Amino acid sequence: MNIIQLIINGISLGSVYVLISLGFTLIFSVLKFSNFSHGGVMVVSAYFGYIIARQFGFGLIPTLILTAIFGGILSSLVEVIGFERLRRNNGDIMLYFVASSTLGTMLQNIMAVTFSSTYYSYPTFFKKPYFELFGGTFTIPVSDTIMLGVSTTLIIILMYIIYKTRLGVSIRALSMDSQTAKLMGINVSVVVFMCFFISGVLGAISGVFLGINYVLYPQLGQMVFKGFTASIIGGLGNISGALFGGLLLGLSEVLLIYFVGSGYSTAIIFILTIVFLIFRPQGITGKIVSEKV
Amino acid sequence: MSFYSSLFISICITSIGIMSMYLLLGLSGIFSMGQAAFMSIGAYAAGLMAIKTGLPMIINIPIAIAVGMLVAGFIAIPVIKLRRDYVALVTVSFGEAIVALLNKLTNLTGGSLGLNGIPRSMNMPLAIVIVAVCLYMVLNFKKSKYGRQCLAVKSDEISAAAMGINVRNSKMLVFVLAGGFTALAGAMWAYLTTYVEPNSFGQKLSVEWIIMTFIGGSNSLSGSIMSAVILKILPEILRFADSMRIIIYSVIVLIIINFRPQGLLGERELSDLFRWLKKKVMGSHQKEQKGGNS
Repeated sequence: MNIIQLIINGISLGSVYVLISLGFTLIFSVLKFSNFSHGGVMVVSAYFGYIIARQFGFGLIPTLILTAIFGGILSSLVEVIGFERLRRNNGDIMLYFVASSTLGTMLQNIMAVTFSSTYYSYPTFFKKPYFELFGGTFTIPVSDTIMLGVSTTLIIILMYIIYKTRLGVSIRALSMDSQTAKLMGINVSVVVFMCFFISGVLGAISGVFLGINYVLYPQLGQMVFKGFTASIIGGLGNISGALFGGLLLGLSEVLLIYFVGSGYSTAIIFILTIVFLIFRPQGITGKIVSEKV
Repeated sequence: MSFYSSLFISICITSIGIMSMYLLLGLSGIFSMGQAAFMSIGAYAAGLMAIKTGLPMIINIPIAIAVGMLVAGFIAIPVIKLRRDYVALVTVSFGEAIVALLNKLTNLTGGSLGLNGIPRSMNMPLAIVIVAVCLYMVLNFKKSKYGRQCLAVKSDEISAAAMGINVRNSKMLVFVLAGGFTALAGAMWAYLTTYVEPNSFGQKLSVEWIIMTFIGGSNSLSGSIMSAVILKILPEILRFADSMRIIIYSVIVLIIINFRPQGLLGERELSDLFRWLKKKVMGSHQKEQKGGNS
């Protein structure tokens, strides 16, 4: 095992974390709560992708596209069931927390009931699972490369949507001040709905990648906390923060697992997060959403 | 030990856990998603003391509570400074980290096999006494100066601080207290089942507790404890699969959040019912007297 190879693995794992953390950074910036149901959407979409890849023999790209659409619809459904009414009644932030964590647990347990707690693994999409560079000095998994490529493309598309389109302007306006945005003629319901759709798309794709990387099991949704940690490190509710945080987390996790083993790496990352929160609660990028009177 | 008495003790344990959730969620608005980790700390502390030193339960349980409070004090240092979202994250990853550590430290904790051979010293009268003492403490805490400060902090941190309440201190106090209660629940659990393993205290248990607290109404102590008792007994009668049970609870919670966000009981407590009944009885009595006079 080479250090450069570890770094490459870390970056591609980090790119998946970036996808997860972008998925709820989007929701956080608009509705100002952490969407724990994102993990549930991820898991259900990962199973969906598994089914269409196994049963119908789709390749990787069609699987990704179909799963992304499925995830988007599922996530919008979650919004309608869980948060639509709360939003209309100006519910307390605590209720959003409870609703989202309940929805996440519920989706995971629905998967546990339907598929029981056995492990499934995705079919191999590639004939040759490894690239060899420089006559075999580095071996890079093809899935890692594709993960990196797809995530980068998605991130660029998301950046384009946020900074160049009309929808993006509405999202940014809503994240600054929802009341004023409403007065300026932005249809808040539609924008929130679209945010959930986009975050579902991101979540679904990260779910498929996690399924390919590890195995499928109902508790895969816990991975959402990696994305959460990533956005804390980067700065909550901040898109560039999610980018930095995800990459940093992926890298440090791969290195820690290589050097100290997987059991301790969870604890070390927890301690690092705490230290980070004590000394720099606003994250790397430095914006913080402070409470106003 | 018969099925009913062990069910009864496990209800008592859950009620103590729910009291800690009530302190956090209902009184001070701290959204802890890893409270089950403190239960595992209490269970392991009591279990290790019992196995390694052979001391009686009466000494081990206070030690377990102290360990729980100590760890809660450390976790509280970042928790009291942060926004609610961050608190949820810190507590979640704390729970994950504890489960991972307990699995990893095989020499001390027996890894995923768990700890075996804790004496079964928990019995029904003792459980009732412990629950009664806890309930008394929580009720008085709610009525005390500190409890009222916590309520103020919950409804608005900034104006509470402007009124001269030390927000951080009151949050710290509640977090440490809740850690102690949960560790007590864990220690009781260890002495009930004689066996502890790390994976029974995962995030699932924490979410289950949140759900129980919210169904009854997170602002009402009697409401949340009643819903804990009911939700603990129902699956024993109906015999659901474990995952099915969680799905049904989740549906109930979603309905309650959407249509009755304050929970089933709202802010009402059992004592209000007694007061109302007393008034009713006294009132009719007075009327009768008046009727007799005229």
